[in-house]
Amino acid sequence: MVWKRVNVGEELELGRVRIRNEGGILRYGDGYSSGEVILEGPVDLRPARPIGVPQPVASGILIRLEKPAVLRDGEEFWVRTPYEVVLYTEDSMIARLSPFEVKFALYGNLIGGKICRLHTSPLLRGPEEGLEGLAKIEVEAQGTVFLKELVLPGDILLFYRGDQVFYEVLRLEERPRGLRVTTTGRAPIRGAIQVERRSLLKKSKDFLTEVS
Amino acid sequence: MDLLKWLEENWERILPYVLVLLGIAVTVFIALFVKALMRRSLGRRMPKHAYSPLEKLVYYGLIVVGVIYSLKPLGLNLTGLLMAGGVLGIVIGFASQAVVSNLLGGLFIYIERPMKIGDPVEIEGVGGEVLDISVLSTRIRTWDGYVVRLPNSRVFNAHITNYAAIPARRIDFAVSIAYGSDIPAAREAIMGALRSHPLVLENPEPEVYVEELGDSAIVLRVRAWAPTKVWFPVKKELVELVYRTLVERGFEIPFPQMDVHLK
Repeated sequence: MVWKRVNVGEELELGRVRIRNEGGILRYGDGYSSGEVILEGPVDLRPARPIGVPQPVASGILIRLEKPAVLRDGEEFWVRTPYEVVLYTEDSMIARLSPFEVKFALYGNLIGGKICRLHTSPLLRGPEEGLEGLAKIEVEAQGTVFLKELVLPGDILLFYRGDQVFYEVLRLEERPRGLRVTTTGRAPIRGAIQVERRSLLKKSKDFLTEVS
Repeated sequence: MDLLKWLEENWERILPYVLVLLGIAVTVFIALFVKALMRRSLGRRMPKHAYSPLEKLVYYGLIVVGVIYSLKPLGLNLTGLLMAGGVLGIVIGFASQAVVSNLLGGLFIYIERPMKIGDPVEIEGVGGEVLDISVLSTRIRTWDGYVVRLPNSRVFNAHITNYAAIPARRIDFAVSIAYGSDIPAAREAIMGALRSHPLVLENPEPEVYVEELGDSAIVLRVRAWAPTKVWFPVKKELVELVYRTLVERGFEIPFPQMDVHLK
């Protein structure tokens, strides 16, 4: 399954990403990198975890809420999430681009903390379609929780349905040491297709959504 | 029948040899047991090139000591042998003091793990990337491309700054603007430039402040954090970016100057 395809003679704009397939040469860029590749035929796109552009420095994703929220046990909410786009053909990866502005933040302290891809989102009560990805979060708490930001693991599963990209369903759990987000492996909506985790392109490590 | 009779007659002569063989067998068994025990515990934790010589040292050491003691029933003068061995040991010990010291240093480095291959470090004023940590020495490729070998005994006792042990590192530099400049506007311009760079961290926040009212200029201190992996490339880009931003916004970056009043 192909998420998006840019055929010869076509152009694609996806946020910051610009792709132009001129037939014989493919031009692409996102403001962080750009390039030209000699290519006959179409180029395919797929969503990838947002931890590779401009360089693979992050090990997690930090979603900062526009406004802090008080949430109850059993409540569900959605947030907008970033993703990246991988350009590839049958057996070659061409580039990894970001449709969104990229920023990073240190989560935790300077000794034991980790670098996270930072993204700001409103708290949504339902899946509102848009360019950004969506993540559904289920709250498991004793009573209520006060939430300002969420830290998601970098190796999250991605899904798509049509143009819309989704993260796997996440669970926000209240633990003795604080709030923690865990992954469930479930698709958030029916009919969503999971982005393949294994590399289709064995030669290229960058094609993997994981970053070592 | 003849064999039994022969054994009966010569038993006292044969017994010491039997004891020697038994002693050697027990020695080999104990040495093999210790070797297996070491492999299970240390072998899994230590790198192969460090573990292998240690295992050989212990294994053959046990065999040598065990064989010497096993030869006792033959009436060999072990005191002389041990004394000779002792003297030889002292001689070898003195000769190989540095080697043993480096070996132990290497062993302690493996146990404590203050760095690993590929880490950017600074040891005794030598800064660079760790190329290899071997049994006797640590090799570092300096920032300007040379390969420096440091004996492990010195590495273990030295101050080691490991830049990879922290996720983020601070970029710190000063920039001067002319007297009479709008300081808040300059600060805002620099902050905007810092925030526009994708690899400058939002948290910890970057900061810009007046550090000094210098002889020729107002000195602003610029501080920003970047992931350790990309610290140096980001630093290079930021200095240039801040300069370009200030020039584009019309800020003057003055040369050192002095007003001389003549009477």
